Amino acid sequence: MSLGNQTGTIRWNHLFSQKLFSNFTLIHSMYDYRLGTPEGNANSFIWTSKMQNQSGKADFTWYINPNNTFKYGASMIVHTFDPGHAKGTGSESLFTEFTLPHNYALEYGVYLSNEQRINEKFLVKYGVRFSAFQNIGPGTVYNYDQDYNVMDSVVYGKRKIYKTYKALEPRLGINYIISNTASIKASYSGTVQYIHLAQNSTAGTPLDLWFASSPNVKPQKADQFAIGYFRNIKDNALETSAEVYYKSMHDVIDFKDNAELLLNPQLEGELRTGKGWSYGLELMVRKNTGKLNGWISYTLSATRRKIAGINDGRSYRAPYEKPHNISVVLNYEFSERSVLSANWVYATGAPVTFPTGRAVIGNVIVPIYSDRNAYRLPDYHRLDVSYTLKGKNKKNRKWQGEWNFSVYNAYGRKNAWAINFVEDQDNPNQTFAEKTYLFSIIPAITYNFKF
Amino acid sequence: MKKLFCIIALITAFNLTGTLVMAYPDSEEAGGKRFTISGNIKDKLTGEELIGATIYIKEIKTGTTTNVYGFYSISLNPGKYTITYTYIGYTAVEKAIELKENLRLDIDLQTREQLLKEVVIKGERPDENIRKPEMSVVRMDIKTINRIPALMGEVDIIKAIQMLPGVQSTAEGSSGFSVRGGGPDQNLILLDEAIVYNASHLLGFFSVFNNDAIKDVTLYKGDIPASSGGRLSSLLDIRMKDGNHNLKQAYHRRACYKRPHFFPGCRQKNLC
Amino acid sequence: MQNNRINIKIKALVLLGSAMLIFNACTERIDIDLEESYTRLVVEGMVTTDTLAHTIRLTSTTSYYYSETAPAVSGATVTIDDGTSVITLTETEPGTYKTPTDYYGIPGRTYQLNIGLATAINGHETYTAVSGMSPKLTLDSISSVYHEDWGSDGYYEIKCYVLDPPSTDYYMFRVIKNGVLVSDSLTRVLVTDDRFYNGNYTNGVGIGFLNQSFEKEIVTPGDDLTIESSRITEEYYRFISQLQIQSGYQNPLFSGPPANISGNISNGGIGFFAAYPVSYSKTIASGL
Repeated sequence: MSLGNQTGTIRWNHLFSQKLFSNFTLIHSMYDYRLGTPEGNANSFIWTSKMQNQSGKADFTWYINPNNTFKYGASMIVHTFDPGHAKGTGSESLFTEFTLPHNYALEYGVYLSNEQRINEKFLVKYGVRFSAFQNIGPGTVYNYDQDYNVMDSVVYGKRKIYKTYKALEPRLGINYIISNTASIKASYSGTVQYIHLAQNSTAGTPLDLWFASSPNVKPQKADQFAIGYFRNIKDNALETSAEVYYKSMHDVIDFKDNAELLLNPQLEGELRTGKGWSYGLELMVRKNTGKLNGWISYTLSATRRKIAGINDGRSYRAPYEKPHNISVVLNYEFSERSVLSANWVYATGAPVTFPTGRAVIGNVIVPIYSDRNAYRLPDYHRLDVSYTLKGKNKKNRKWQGEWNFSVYNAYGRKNAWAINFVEDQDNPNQTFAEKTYLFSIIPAITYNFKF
Repeated sequence: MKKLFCIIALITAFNLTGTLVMAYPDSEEAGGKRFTISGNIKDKLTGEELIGATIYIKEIKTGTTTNVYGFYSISLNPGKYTITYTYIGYTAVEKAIELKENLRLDIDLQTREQLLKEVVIKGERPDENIRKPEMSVVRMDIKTINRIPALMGEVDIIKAIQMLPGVQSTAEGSSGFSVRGGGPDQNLILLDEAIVYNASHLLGFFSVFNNDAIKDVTLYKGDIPASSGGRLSSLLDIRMKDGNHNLKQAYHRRACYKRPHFFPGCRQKNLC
Repeated sequence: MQNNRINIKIKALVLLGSAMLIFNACTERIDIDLEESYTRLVVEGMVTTDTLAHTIRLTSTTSYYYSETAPAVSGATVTIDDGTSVITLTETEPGTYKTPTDYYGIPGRTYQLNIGLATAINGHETYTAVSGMSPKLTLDSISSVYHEDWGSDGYYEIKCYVLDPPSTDYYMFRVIKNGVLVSDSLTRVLVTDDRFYNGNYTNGVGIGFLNQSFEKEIVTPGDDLTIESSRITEEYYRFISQLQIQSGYQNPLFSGPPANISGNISNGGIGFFAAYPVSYSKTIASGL
């Protein structure tokens, strides 16, 4: 298996005047992977998938005066999706070539925004982004009935634009400065997403499959409101913040039960869309300077989805909903050369679906599952420690070395990565829960060498 | 195709506005009202442009910050000013100027380690986090990221991001992350403005980003700038080191970030 | 820190839990409390083109940690309607209902199973299921080959030779060794669609795999190997593949959220009533 990301950027910065800064960028970005079995067998095959895009953008910043900074610009992306291609390898291959149709899309964005200081106390940032998305031929669109079965398909010719979506995305930020060390901020942002990832697994795999919005798949939309209080203590040495947010999402995508995502030309029939919402409180204390520095953060949050066709239309927890989350990151600098660092993380266990009953069919124990994500994995926590010692900075030495001693998961907690229910070897009628954990204590010594 | 032309027309229109705008401030300056101080702020030794460095004018208690290309610009009435240039981890520089005409002030800052004798200049103004009308944003410099204890000593910016409030890892060891309840595909990851579609490497246990080549990482959990779009939940803006950046012409950068495991590779653009 | 223009970093890992550790994840038995869901009717049975007493088995669901054989559902009235006649099955032992011994299915017909329970389960007394029988497909021939390097003790692979029809088809294959069914559970049968060889001659695609580490599957040269091949409906294909996935190991890297398998029994019943044609192909196990 191999995968690769490749990006290339050509950039040109130009000052039209001392007040007008511009940036022009051309970007090429590609992501591909291949997966196969060893050659020389009638069953050997290779599977490749690729997506790439070319984009161009122009951004301008106009420093009107100390109270107004105006930004505007435009961008365009050409997307090419080559979702899958499988073929046999070797001369006596059994397989015929199998290619999922390529598809193409264009994405545009135009924006205006201004950061304005109304007075000493009051700052605002307001802007709007207009975005559009078009499917462009050649392409094949399947039409589905209400049960998501394919009725027929339409083939569009080259350069034929067969679907256009448009959206306005307002962005607003307000800052009220209470004093030199405290402020209250509020923001609203509207966002739209036109390309999506067909990912069903909880852990990300490199075998990601991106797909575009289309006549069957509406873009995802979100509105987020946030309000926060920011306060610096001890001459700005300690930055503290508290933010609350509410995010409402429309046309969010999830996959039906037992969805088939790989090498499926009718992937769109496996999708279900609906509403999602999430809200939370985020607290953070950060110390950037001094011998002891780092941050402590706590998040209290909830995220749910309600999608027709999933969990019988009842709302369920999003896969990443972990209500309590604590991170502690601390560094202690004994000297310029020697630093001790530690971090501790805690998170409520991720939501999972467990069996609540069983049936026996064809001599196999078949689990009957709970509502989607009705259970949770055990809570996750872990401590990592590291000590870095830099070599002496000798003048006539052209290189610098650095020793790093680290311990990952210092107290060896066996955090559950997955829980499976398996049959007892001795008694096939007996089933039990088994957790899989990836890492216990992992010490490492690294020598970094720079010249 | 009509739409396409429409957009191109818009871009052209913007360029025209650009020209107009250009004419406008000049005429204003000609009126003798205000002058502009602008320039680039860089690391003295490496020539790296410093993103988000602070420019503070003592006399009028106001200031600005550098953009992602290290550029700043501020317009003021003629007069005498004391300008302080600051950046986290760097020693501040103070300049006293008399503004009579447009000024170009390119400043090179030194890290505290680079400087032999320490000169401490304290800014009077509150920190950016209080002053900016921008929230739900976390900026991390590479020094902070490098210090976080890492699995097998492999420092990883995605793992550092997962330590921030409102950010969850999708599974242990995974390079996927969820921002404020969004899916891992709802994060716009930009590496020097190029979209990164899959940040994971080795089944997701390491991210593709090579921390040695990274300069600055900013995560927008909400309040995403209008200049970015296309994803619902967040923007992770990763800027790489420029390498030797004395060229003012167009340059080409090819980021080879198919990261070799535990081994050096093609990292800097001047090596690619 | 010195000259960043050439910044090459060499890392030597003196001591490390090597990358291999990642793939050698550990497992541990743990206690998880599970609530118990309501009881549902479980139906399994099929009609094939073979002439024999076809069986329909009725059981009920239990709590997940239940450790006995599934409770039988007795006293039901079970009939099969093939569009021309209706036959009634007789309960030979608790929960097992059989057709007469001279019963056989005919390709092209649609079979409907009707169940009338003595006492309602999950609020329903009657359950039905419908399955159409696809046309028969007989393999031209099969052959066997031993792969010494597959698995720890090698595998016997049974290859098939047949022209796949142009339509989208689904197949199920079972292995019979010396007259004994080896693929004796639904996780051991092989089901496949024809995505990779649709309309082509399947010049030796593997349709049966016998793991020589399992006593039951050990083949000695000269053994009589038979493949029972069936052309099944898409619904049944999905049912078996989902069953195989859901009862297997779920790896969070690749599996989606676990989900109930979808059968064809009405009123929330679990299981499947299938109708499919069968054909048999024989070969003699080759020497090592």
